[in-house]
Amino acid sequence: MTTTTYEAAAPRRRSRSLPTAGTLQWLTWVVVVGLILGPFIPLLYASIRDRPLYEAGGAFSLGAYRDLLADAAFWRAAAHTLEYAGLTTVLSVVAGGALAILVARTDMPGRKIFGRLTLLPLLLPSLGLVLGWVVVWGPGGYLSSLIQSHLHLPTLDINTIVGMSVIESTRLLPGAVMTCEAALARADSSHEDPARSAGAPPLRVLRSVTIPMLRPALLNSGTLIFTLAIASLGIPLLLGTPHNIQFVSTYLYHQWTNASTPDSPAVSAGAMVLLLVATLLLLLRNRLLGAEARYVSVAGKAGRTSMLRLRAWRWPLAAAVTLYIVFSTLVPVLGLALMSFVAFLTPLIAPWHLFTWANWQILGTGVYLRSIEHSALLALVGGIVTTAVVALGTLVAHRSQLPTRKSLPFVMLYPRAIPGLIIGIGFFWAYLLTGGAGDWLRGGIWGILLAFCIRNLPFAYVVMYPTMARIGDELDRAGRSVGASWWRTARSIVLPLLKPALFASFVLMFVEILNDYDPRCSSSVPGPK
Amino acid sequence: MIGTTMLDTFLQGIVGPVASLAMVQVGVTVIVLALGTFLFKIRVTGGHEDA
Repeated sequence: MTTTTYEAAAPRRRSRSLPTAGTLQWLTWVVVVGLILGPFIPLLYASIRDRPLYEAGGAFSLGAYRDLLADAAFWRAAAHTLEYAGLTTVLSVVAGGALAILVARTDMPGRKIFGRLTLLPLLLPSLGLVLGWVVVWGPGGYLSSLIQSHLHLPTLDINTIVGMSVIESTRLLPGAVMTCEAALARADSSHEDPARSAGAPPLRVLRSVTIPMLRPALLNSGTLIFTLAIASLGIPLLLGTPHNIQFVSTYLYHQWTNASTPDSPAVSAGAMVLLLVATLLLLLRNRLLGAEARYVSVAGKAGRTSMLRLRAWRWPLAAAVTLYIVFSTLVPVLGLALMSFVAFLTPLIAPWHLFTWANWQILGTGVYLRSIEHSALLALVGGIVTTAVVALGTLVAHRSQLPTRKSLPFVMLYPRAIPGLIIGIGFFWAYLLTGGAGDWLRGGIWGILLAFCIRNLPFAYVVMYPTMARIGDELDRAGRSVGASWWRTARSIVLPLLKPALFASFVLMFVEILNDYDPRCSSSVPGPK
Repeated sequence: MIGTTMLDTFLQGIVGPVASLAMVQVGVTVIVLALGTFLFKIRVTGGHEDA
């Protein structure tokens, strides 16, 4: 009797709940895809008009692309960008790969703590780290002056493309370390054992076995780092602009914000070119991820990892890694901290003679206080809203039968590869074309919040997806078998199990939005402020 | 936003307040991540190797 009642009731409940679930899933898909890809449509439109969208009239024209491609300054900027991104990629991948091998495959002392410390630049505010480099290693910087005057040794000129690449590579290197470390953890170390037992020295084992196994991971991380370096704005703006070294990102930034007669169709065309390059690189990376999966040599869980013995090189290599972490990360942060407590920083006068609270007291006034309040508010609201939207998006992508669900993972990772500058310009045009609501968003901080949320949304997804993948489908099926709707199952079973990832996502979103700045640089009115 | 204020102020040649703002960012980031690690066991990669 009970069985009969269940069988009769379950289909009725399902048929009543399906349209609601379908509507919610479609709505989620439309919101996520619309917010991420939507702003690029007005950007494309703006690039094929003969005048800015805020001017009346206008006609279809490819003149902006012709003007851009005929501008020698753009090509100089493109050449600088390629040199900068290429050098950054080589430095990050070589050093990151070497660090990953040292941490994951050798008996270097303190390798676990080194593994964590090398990830520090990923967590610390990138702009703060760059300013720390300027304060310590810049021309007239504290340590560079000290070394030049006392040791009479030359130091790296950070205002050159090579110098900027070195700083950028220390910022992006953790990405290469994580990717290579993960690949090494998945790869079976027994492949190295025959070489070792045949008497091959550690370097030969590395060269002949370990590094070839790492090749797909190196290519994968190299593609991502190259894409991020092309999109970089902070380092080129702070270090390149004063010495008239233009990059594509700074070229577009200056054209958009500082030009006396801003040519916004040309800027939109430049943004579209950059967007195309970044998209192609992201697609290439996705192909490489497939290639990487084919190279994995583990069935099930990897066995015990055999460590390469470094012998006499153990301590010298540990010392080298220590020096790298100290001088690339800790010293710039300490320099920044010291700079905040002195009137100016110079090796000629002891810092305690220059001590002042003024740099901190001023933070309680005017623009400084407003910037802290706005950042905290946007980080808090953005963290909550993005986590909620991405949770729904991840549910639809991996726990629904929506026909278009497979597009969501790519779309949610897409903003990661897109320069923040382009996202800002895209949102500016989108707000301009959407009338009253757009004007309201463009005029206040909530419009900025939207751009920041979209820009950082991939972080929430990469935190949420692995946790959701670990929650078995049978739990959903159990809920559905007793007549619960898709949303009821998600709300009562999946989301509660996802709670740790939701909190983690909120924390990461809070930090990323707090420290981000790129989209804001271009989301205001073009031309002089 | 803190970042844009830092950029604008630094490009005007004012370094001290920029350093203080950067330290505010570093401080808040470290505290929030430490709380997240302690309370929610957050991992840097979020358990996703290709992050």
